Amino acid sequence: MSDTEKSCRVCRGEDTESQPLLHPCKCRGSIKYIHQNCLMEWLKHSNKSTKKCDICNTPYQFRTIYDQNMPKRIPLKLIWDKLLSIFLSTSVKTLSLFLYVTCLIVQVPLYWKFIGRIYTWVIDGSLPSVNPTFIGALLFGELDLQQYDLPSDSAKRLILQLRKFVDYTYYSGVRYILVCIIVHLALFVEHEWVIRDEGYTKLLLKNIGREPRTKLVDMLQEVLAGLRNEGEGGNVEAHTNLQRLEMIARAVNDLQAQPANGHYEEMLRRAINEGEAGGQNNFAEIPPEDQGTNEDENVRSSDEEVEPDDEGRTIFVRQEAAVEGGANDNSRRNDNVNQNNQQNVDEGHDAAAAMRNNENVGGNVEQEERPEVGEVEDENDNGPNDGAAGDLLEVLGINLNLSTPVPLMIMCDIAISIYLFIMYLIPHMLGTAFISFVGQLMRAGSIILEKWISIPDSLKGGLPKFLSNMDLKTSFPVSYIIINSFVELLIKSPASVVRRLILENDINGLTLGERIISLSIGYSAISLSIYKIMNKLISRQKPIMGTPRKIYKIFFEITSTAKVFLVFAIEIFFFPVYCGWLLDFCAAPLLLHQFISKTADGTEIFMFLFTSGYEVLQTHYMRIALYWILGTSYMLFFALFIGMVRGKILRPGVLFFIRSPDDPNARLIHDALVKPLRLQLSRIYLSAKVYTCFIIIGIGGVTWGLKYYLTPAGFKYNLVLPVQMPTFGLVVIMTVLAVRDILSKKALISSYCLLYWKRAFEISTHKLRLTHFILGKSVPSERGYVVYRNTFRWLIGNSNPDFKKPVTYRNALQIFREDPSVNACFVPDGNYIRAPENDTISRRFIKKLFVPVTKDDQLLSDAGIHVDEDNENDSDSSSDEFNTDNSYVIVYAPPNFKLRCVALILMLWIFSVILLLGIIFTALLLGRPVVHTVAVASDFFKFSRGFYDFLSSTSQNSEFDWRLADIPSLVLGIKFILIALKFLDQKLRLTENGENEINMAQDEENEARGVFVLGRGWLPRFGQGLSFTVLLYTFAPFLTYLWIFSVHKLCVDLPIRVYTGTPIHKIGNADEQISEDLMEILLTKTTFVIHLLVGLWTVFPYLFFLYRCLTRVEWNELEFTDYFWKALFAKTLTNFGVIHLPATVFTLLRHRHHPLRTIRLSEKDIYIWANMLALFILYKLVVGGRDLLSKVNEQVKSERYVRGRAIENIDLPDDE
Amino acid sequence: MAPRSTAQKRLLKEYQQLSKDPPPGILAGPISENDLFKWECLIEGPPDSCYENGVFPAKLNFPSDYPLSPPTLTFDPPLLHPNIYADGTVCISILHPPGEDPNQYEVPEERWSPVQSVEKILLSVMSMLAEPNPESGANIDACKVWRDHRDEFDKQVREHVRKSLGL
Repeated sequence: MSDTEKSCRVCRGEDTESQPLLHPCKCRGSIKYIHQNCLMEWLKHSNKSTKKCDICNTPYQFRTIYDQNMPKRIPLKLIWDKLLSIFLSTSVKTLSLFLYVTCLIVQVPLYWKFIGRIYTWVIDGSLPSVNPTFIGALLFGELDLQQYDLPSDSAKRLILQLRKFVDYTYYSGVRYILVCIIVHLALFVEHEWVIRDEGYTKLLLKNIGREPRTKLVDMLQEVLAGLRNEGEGGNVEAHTNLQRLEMIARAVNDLQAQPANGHYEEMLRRAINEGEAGGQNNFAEIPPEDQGTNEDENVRSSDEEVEPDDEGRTIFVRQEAAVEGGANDNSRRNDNVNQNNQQNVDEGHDAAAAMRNNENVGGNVEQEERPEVGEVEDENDNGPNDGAAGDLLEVLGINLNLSTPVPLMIMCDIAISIYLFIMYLIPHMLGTAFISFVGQLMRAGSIILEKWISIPDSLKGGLPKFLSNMDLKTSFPVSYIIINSFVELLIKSPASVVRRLILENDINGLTLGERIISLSIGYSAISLSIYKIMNKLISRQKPIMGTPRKIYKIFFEITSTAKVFLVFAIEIFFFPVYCGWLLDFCAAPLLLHQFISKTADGTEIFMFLFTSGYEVLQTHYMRIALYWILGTSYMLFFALFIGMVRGKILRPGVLFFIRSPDDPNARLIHDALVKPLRLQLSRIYLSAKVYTCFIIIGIGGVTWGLKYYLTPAGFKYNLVLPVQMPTFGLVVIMTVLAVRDILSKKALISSYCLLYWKRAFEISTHKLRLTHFILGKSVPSERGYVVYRNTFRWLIGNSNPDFKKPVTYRNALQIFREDPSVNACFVPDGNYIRAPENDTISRRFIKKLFVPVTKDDQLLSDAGIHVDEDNENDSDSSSDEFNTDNSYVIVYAPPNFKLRCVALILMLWIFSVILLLGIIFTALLLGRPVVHTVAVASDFFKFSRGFYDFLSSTSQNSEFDWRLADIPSLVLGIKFILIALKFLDQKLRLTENGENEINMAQDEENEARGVFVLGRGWLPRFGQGLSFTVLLYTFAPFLTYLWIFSVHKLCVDLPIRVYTGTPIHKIGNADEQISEDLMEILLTKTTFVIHLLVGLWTVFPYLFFLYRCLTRVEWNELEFTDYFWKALFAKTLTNFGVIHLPATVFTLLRHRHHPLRTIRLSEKDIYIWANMLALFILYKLVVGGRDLLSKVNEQVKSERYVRGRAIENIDLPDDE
Repeated sequence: MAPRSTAQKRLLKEYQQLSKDPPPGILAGPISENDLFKWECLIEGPPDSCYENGVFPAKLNFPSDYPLSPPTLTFDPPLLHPNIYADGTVCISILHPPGEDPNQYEVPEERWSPVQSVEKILLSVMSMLAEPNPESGANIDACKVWRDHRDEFDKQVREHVRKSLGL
C-alpha cells in the first residue's frame, strides 16, 4: 500500500496537517493507521479497562505532552510549595492516625478502668488501702506494687511500674471492653431473633391482650355520618364523596370482620385522612373536581403515616401533585388551602426548578463529554501505596482528619461513664446496701446465728485433725487430698466470704468474687422489681391500653431477650467452663508430680487442678478461656460420639431423650423463649449432673486410678504418670503434627472406630440381652437365660441348651433329674414392650410407651394406660412440636431392664477405657525406642544442649525420666499406629476386593511403605518441603532480624560503650557468658533515643514492609513471593553488603598479622563499624532525598504543565 | 448534501469503495443520497448451499455514532436461517457491540470494531448463510429443523428461494 492511500481505520480519513495518522499498534496493512482523535473516541466508547488494540492486543503507549513553555528546570519555589504541601498532608494524616490510636485504642480502655475504679471508690467510700494516693489508686487500682521487690534503679523501677500498669490496667480494660462488645453483640443478635420469633408475639398478646380497634371504628363512623350529610347537599362532588363513602364502609366491614389484620387499619387511616380533607374542601366550597382530588392527593401524600416505608414513592407523588398544583393553581390560590398544601406547592416549585437544573446539568455534562484532543482520564498516578492504606481505612469508615478523633473519644467516654454508672455502680450499690442491711440484721439478731456461721471454721480445723488421727495421710493419700481440697474449696472460702460480708460488714477491699456477689444481688433486685412491675401492669383487665401497654411492651422485649440470653449463656459459656473445670481436676494426675506443696510457713496447699502447676494459668481469664476450650471440645467430642452411635449403630429411637441435631423440632430460640425459665434451668441442671458424673467417674476415675495403681503409696518412683511435659514450643509442634496426621486420616480412623464400637455394642448388648432393644436385631437366645446343671458345667461352657425347647425353671430342674445327658436348659423370661421407633417422637407420646405387651401388641395389663388416653386429645403438643412421627415398635425387654441399661453404660465405658489406654500404651511402647535412639545419638554427637534439650527438656525438671510417659513418644507412636492401620486396611482391601482399589491413595501408601523401608520414603519428602519459597519465608525474616540486631549491637551499642567507658565484653570468647552479653544492649534514656533514631533506618523500613504485606490483601502467591524476595531478602543482603562486608574487611585488614582465631574487636575497630553505619545512613538520606525531589518534580510538572497525552507510534523493524 | 459528521464521511467513503471495487455476490448502497444511514443491499446465496441461486434483499441501518457502534442488518423479507430472527434481524458476532459478553462464547476479536466495514459485514453474512452457527441460535425453530431434519430445512429454504425469484 502506497503512502497516498493510507487512511484512518476508523473514519477512513486521510493524513492531514492537523490530523496526522499514527500507527500505535502492531497492525499493518489497510488498518495500520489511525487518527489520534478517532482512537481516543473509540477507547472511550468501548470502555475497556486496559487500553490496547482490539485486533492485535498491543497495549497503546502514551506520552505526556507538557506545556511548550515549560521551563527546563522547575522553579524552586514550586517544588518547595509542593514539598510543603506534601509534608503538611502527610503530617496531618500521621497525626490523625496517631490521634485515633491514642484516643480510641489507648485511651478508651484506660478510661473504662479509671471510671470503673472511681465508681468502686464511691461504692467503697475510700481509696484502696494498698494505694492510698489518688493517682496511685487510679493507675494501679488494688494492685499491691510492694509485693514485687522494686528495683532501686529509678529507670528500671519506672519500667517495672509501666509494665505492671499496662498489664494490670490497660490489658484488663481491653479485656473488659472486648467482653462487653461480645456480650452486647450477642444480645443484639438474640434480640433480633427473639422479636422475629412467632412465639414472642403470641406470648406478648397473651399477656396484654389484643389491641382493640373500637376507637378507630368510632372515628370512622363519625366521618361517615359527616360525609353523608354533605352528600345530601347535592354538590358536584357528591360523586367523589360517594366513592369515598363506599370505601370507608368497606373498611368498617373489614375491620369488624377481621380485627387482627393490620392492613385494614392502614387503609382506614388513609380513608379518614381523605375524609377530613374532603370535609375541608366542602367547607371551602371549591367546586372543580380535579382540584379536589388534587388536594386530596396532596393531603394523602403529606401524611407520613400513610406509607412510612415507601418514602421514595411518597415524595414522588408529592412532587408530581405539587407541580401540577403549581401549574394550575397560581391564579386562584385559595385561603383555605391548608398549610401542608402551601408547603407542598413551594416544595414543588423548588423540585421543578431542581429538575430543570438537573436537565441543564445533564446537557452540560453531555457537552463536556465531547472528546478533546488527547484527553483520556488520568490513571491514578499516586501509586498503589497510598491506595492500599487509604482503602483499609476507608473500609473501616475512618476519615483521616484532625477533628474527628477527639469528639469521638469524648463521646465514647461519656457513653462509658453512663454505661458503667447504670450497669456497675447502681447494681453494686444496691447489692452492697442489701448485704450491709442483712449484716446489720444478723448482728443484731442472735449469737447463735453467729455460732452457726462459724461452724465451718471449726469443721475445717477439726476435720484434718480427725483425719490425721486416722492416719489417713499415709495410708490413703487420695482421700486425704480430696477431703482436704473440698474442705478448702467448698467450706472454707464461702464461709469466710459470708463472714466478711455479712458479719463483719467489711466492704473495704472486696475481692473480685465478693464484688460479683454483690453485683448479682443488685441485678437480681433490679430484675425482681421489673418482674413485679410487669406483673402489676398486666394484673388489670385485658386488653391493656395506652402507656402501660407501651411500657409493658418494652419491658417484655428486654426480659425476653434477657431470658434467652441467660439460657444461651449458660449453655454456651458457663456449662463448658464448668466441664473444663471438672476436666482440669481429671487432668491433674496426668501432669502434676505432687499434689501437696508446702509454703514457707509450713501450711499445706492442695493442688488438685493441673492448672495450679503453671504460673501462666494463674490469672482468672486465662483459666476461664482454657476451661471453655477444654469443655467445649469435650462436649463436641461427646456429641460426635453420640451422633456416630445414633446414626450408625443403634436402632432408631433408642436415644429419643437426646435431641438429634437434625431434629426438625429443635427450634432453639423458640424453646428458650417459650418454655418457662425454671424448666430450662432444671434441664440444664440435669445435664450438668450427667456430665459431672461422666467426667468425674469416666475420666477422673481412670486418671486418678491409674495414678494410684501404677504408683502405689510408699513406692519411691512414679511409673508412667505424670506425663513429662516438654517445652511449650515442642508441645505446639507435636500437637500440630498429631492433629494434621489425624485429620489426614480422618475417614480411616472413623471407619475403624465405628468398627470397634459396633463390635463393642454387639458384645455388651448380647451379654446384657439387650440386643433387640438397643440394636434392633431380634436374637431368640436372648429372650431368656440358661440354667446349667451345676457350676462346673457353666464354667466349662460347652453344654448348649436346646433353644427350641423353652422350659420353666422348675421344669429345667426336673429335666436335669430325669435326663442325665441334658446339662443346660433355656428358660425364657422378660417381655415385649412398646418402644419409640424414631427420635422425633413427641414428648407426650413417650408417656404412653414402655408398657409391657405381647408379641402381637396386646397390652398385658391395661392399668395406667387409660389416664394417658384421656390426655390424648390435648392439642398442645401439636403446636409445640410440629413435625413429630409418633410410632412405636415392639421390642424385647429382659427383666431388670433399667439396671441392665445402666450396666450397658458401664460396659461401654470399660470398652472406651480399653480402647484409649490400649492406643496410648501401644503408642508409648512404639514411640519410645525411636525417641530413645534419638536421645542417645544426640548425646553421642554432643549436641545435647541443642537438639536434645529442645526435644526432651521438661518444664518441671530438666532430667528426662525414662520411667514416665512423654509426649514425643506418644505422638510418634500414634503416627506409627496410624501408618500400621493404613497398611492393614490396604491389605484387607486387597484381599477383599482384589486389585481394584490399589490406586486409591497412592501417596499415603508410599508413606506407609517408606517407614517400613526405613528412610527411603522420607528423604525426598524432606527435600520437597525445603523448597525455595519455604526457605525464603523462613530465612529472610531471620536474616533481617540478624541484620537489625547486629547493626544495633555492633554499630550503635558498642561505640556507645566505648564512648561512655563501659567495658565491652569480649566478643568471640568461648565462655559461657557470651550468650548473655551478646544479647544485652545498654539501655539508658540517651541510648534509647539514639537507638530509636537509628531505628528509622533499620527497623522502620521493615515495619513499613510488614505493613504493606498486611494491607495488600489482593496479592496472589507469586506476586507476594516476588515482593518478599525483592523487598526483604535482596534488600537485607544489600544492607549486609553495605555495612557488614566492608566493616569486616577493614577489621580483618587491620588485624591481618594476627591469626584469625585470636582477633578481638578493639576500640578502633568499633569506630569502623560506627562509621560504616553513618555512611549507610548518609547514603540512604541522599538517595531518599533525590527520590523525593524527582518525585516532587514529576508531580509539579504533571500538575502545572501537562497539556495532554499523545500516543506513541510503534515501529516494527521490518517497516518500510 | 455535504457530509458533516464522521459517520457520514466514513459511510460515503465506504460506499465509494464498494461501488469502485464490489465484492462478488454483493450489492450495497444508500437508499437515497439524502440519508446515508439507511442502506439497502442484495446478497447472493452462497454456492453449494441450500441458499444457492437466491438473491436476498436486506436493509442496513447505521447508528449516528457509526463506526463506534455497529449497524443492524435485517433481511426483508425474513429468511429462514438458524442465526436470523423470525423478523429477519441477523444475529452474528461481527454485529455485536464490544464490551463484556455475558455468554462468554464470543471472542472479542470477532465482535464489532471500527476496523470492520460494510463489506466485511456482508461477506460474513454470506459465509454465515453457507455455514450456520447453531451454538448461538436466533431462531430456535429453524435451529431445530436445521439440526434434526436437514433435508426438510433444505427443502423449505429452496422453496423460499424459488418463491422469492418468482418461479
